[in-house]
Amino acid sequence: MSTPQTDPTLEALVARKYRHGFVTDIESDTVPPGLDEDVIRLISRKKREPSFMLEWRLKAFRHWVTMQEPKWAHLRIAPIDYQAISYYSAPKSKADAPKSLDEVDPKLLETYDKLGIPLHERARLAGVAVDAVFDSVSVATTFKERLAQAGVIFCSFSEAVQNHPALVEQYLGSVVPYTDNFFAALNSAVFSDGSFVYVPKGVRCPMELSTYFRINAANTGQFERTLIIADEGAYVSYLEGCTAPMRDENQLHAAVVELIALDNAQIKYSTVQNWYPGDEQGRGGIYNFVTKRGECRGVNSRISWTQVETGSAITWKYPSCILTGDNSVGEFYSVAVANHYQQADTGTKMIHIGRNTRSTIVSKGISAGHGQNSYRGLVKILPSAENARNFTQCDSLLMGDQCGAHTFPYMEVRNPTASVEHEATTSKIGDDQLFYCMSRGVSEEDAVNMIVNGFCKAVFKELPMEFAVEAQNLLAVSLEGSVG
Amino acid sequence: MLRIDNLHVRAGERQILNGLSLEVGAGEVHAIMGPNGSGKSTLAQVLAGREGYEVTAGTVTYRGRDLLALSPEERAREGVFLAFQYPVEIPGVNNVYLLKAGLNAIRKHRGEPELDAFEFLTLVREKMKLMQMDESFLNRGVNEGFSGGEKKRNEILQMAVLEPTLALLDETDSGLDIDALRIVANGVNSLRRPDRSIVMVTHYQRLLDYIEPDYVHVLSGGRIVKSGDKSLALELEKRGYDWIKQEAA
Amino acid sequence: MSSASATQSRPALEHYRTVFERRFAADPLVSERRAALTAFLEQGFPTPRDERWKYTNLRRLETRAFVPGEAAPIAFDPQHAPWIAQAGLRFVFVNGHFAPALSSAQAQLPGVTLVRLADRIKHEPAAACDYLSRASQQPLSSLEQLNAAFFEDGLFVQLAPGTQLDQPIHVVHLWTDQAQLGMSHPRLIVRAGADSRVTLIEQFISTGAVESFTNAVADLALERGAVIDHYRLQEESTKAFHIGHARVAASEQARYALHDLALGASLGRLDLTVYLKEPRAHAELRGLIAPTGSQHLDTHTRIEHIAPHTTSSEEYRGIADGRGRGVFNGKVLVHPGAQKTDAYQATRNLLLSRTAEFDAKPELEIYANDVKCSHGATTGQLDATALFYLRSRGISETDARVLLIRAFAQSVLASVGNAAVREHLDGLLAHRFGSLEVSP
Repeated sequence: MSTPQTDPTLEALVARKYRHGFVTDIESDTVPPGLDEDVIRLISRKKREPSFMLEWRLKAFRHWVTMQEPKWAHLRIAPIDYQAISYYSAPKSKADAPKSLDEVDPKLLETYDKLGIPLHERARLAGVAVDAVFDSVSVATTFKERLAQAGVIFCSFSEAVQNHPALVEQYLGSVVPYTDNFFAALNSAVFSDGSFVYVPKGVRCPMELSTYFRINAANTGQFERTLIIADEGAYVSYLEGCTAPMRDENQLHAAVVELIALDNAQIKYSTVQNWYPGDEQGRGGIYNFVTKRGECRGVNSRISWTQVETGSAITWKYPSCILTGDNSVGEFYSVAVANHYQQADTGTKMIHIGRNTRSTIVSKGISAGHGQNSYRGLVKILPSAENARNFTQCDSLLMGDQCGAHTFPYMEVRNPTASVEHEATTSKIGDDQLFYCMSRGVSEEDAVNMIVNGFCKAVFKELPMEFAVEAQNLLAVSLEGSVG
Repeated sequence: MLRIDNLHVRAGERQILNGLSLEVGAGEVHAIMGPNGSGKSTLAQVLAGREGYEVTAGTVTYRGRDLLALSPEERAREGVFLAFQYPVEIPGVNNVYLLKAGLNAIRKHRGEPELDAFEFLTLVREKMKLMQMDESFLNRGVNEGFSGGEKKRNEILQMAVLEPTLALLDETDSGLDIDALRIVANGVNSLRRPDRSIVMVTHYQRLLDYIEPDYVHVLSGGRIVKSGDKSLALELEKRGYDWIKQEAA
Repeated sequence: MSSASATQSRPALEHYRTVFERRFAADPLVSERRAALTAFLEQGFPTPRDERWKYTNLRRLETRAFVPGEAAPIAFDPQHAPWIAQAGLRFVFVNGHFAPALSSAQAQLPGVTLVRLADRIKHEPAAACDYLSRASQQPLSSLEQLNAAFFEDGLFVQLAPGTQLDQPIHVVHLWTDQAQLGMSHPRLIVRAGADSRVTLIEQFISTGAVESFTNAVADLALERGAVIDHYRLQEESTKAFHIGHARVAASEQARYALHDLALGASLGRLDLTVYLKEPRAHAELRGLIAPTGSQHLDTHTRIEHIAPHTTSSEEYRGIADGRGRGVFNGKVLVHPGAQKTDAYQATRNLLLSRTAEFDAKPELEIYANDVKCSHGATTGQLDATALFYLRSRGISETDARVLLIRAFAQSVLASVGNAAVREHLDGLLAHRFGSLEVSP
């Protein structure tokens, strides 16, 4: 093990193909590529949106055209031609929106089966309500009735715009304004669908809510938008999973997620992201440029982000918390994998505004092949944040000698009663650790998995059970044969 | 010397001491025993002036003064000394430097002349011999990198140098092996004087084999539920704490 | 990349062009200087849009029309020299110009070549060109170009292989109270031959509270097994602007140690880069950044592990008081192939007032897998437990705070071996952070 080279038997495992790489042959209703105000009007009209939505989209578009694409120091990125992307692609089906699973195109359901999320069984067995977003339109939502009894609104964004326009108008863009960044502005202008959740006062959402995203059509960007509001004393746990088929070209995914927690409310948001990462040579794969932000607007509120990012050619995402309410808590738990030519640039921002606000950041980056993994995080303590506390632990694991692991933490402290702590380590899988496991009869591959999973344990334990298992499997697949 | 009357103490939402009363006369050695969580350490901390505790009722009178009205350093200057259960490490602050600053502050308060470097070192070396500590200790940071035993010996060394009137020993025996325990106990015994009182907080009877108390008290549920002489400690060793809890109830 | 100058006020840059033409039109190095000036004018002053200048805005510096400082006589009581007395072989530069009367008598030291740059420019301009070249072949920043365009004096030190210089070289840069709006762009060039050893003390001071602008370059190269102990003491007046650049290239088994103190100036910034070029090269950086009043003190360090088996250890501490703002950005970069790199970095910062700010950014950029790299960063206030412990031993709260702050500051400078420097630092820290009421 002294020379850093890839084990040949493991090399074969590395070559294993992306499991979710298939294309569903469904007739799509796709808008021709290109973006101007007419396209936005078309999207808005197709969705029969009220005028406040169209106005908001147009404002966002007009702002977007004045903006420049961000240039991040550590991202190698081919230029994106925003006029070559189609901004709307809906699977054609009998009705405008299916009202039950029976109405959903059987081929779609087959697709979900291949992904391992059969809506019928799995959803029911696991007690999960799934809102599946296929390309850009929400196709099916289950368990609506049980949720309705509890008063929880869980529906596609389009439905929310039709049925709960007041809530949408009140909260949309209140955490991520359309001026926020290049991709958030683009999303605000063109987003086609997404999920909407409202948990009323004092309600503990009776089940985990789940959305599965999938990019299918070629040359489409996916711009979904998620808005979750937990009213006073409410609790909700939300899961999202993401996959995309294999394509040679890069596809763009620029989502926006906004979370709002009012007094004493808690939102737990978990992501397992497994978009197509591109092939071994770095061809194709998803550009995953996502803006996720939550605001702990009320006192004693809590927002937790947990993410397992194994896919995408490029990930650019910083799920953040604005801790406005006194005693509010923000958490970020992340595992990010960069294998082959993947580039993961992820992290968080914790903005402490209220008194006694606390934040915890645990980031585990795994780099293999030619992968580049960066943690980029900001902890900002404003003068008003009396007794604010932050703890950050940021660890990198390097597998192979061609990859990179980078840590860029920013700590801005403007209150003397605050305490901010950051620790970072970089290591490889120790030969002695491997040897110890193997001398107990464990195969090298299993030993690597054990050690990697041990490395990620602090994050996995934050995931809901069924997701934790999926995450561990994904990690194993993503890293097969990467031991150096 | 010390009179605690109906002391009620709360930490956050939790009521820890619940009407504790205790009288300690000059030259007496009291042992306070009790199960974990009975409030032993809280008592020691409150007497030394640790923040984070709220005295909701009761009084503590020390040599005729209201002890609770004094800041921690005023208490120290008045002769109250706490040997910590977990002495903190203060990297970068020299051990001797701390001790000298403390001693001279106390001497000044008493109206005694401050010691110069030579006098002070002579004094410390003499006390170090008592505690069987080596010279290198002089140049180290406060408790920095000390083993558990070294930290406890350091506490008693500080006591020997500062010569308190009332010494509170908080679990001074915990984490010590038998040799270290003997050294620490010898140190304490040599400091017994008719005008110096000692209150020891301990979970085990073991320490009392070496430092013989005049009185033994059992703390349970935040108050003293039984008092006696040394034989009470032996009985506790044999029978545990449960019978006393029952008796008290 | 858009040109920064396009967005900057042209007059600020034009001023430097005008001053340049007035001062250097007939200078022997005018063409080299002009190339540097052009490079500077193209890039302009860095702005906060540049990631490396995110926390430090030079607009206040830009808007002032600095002109080259002029030599001035200074009078002082030899018993109370403004510099560290008896620290070593002393070279004093007043307002940017060498002052022989204040400096140590020149003695021939075996194995040591000492050259004053102004002399060399005047008498051997061809040779002086060499001093514009750099130990590293890295592109220069715009402010380094500004230095190259305007430098007038400084020191070149060469140590023959095996030379062990017992006496430190003490370079003093002093601003007098006549130097309002004076600027100086000194250079310190050190070439330490194989197995040589030297202590450098750079001390930046002011005798008057004037708005001066120091833009100092240090360029150090360590051959195989060379050892440099480098003190950088920035104690200028709180009206001054101080910009420092240091680049250090270390060959096999060379050891570079920095003791860095940022205490003075209204706006202070140091950019230090260490290149560990060959196996077993080692860098050790220790620093204190202590802004108070309305000072803004920013230190950027960058350690590049280029070769395998290189090691570095870095610890910076910050103490921000008043409305002061401290910035520490420490980057450790491990190049591809630099296996067995061992790098440790720590930054600990204290905020002493409600209006102070500290921004810390410890960065790791790693392109090799068999490495041991870690960093830790904390920002907070004094440890309440330690404060209580001291008070329980009879020390007043004020004294306990002083003790802890001094200990916090001093520990990072504990490695200072030079007695004169140590005494000087103790005095500075006592002055800044106070002394005890009770004499210990």
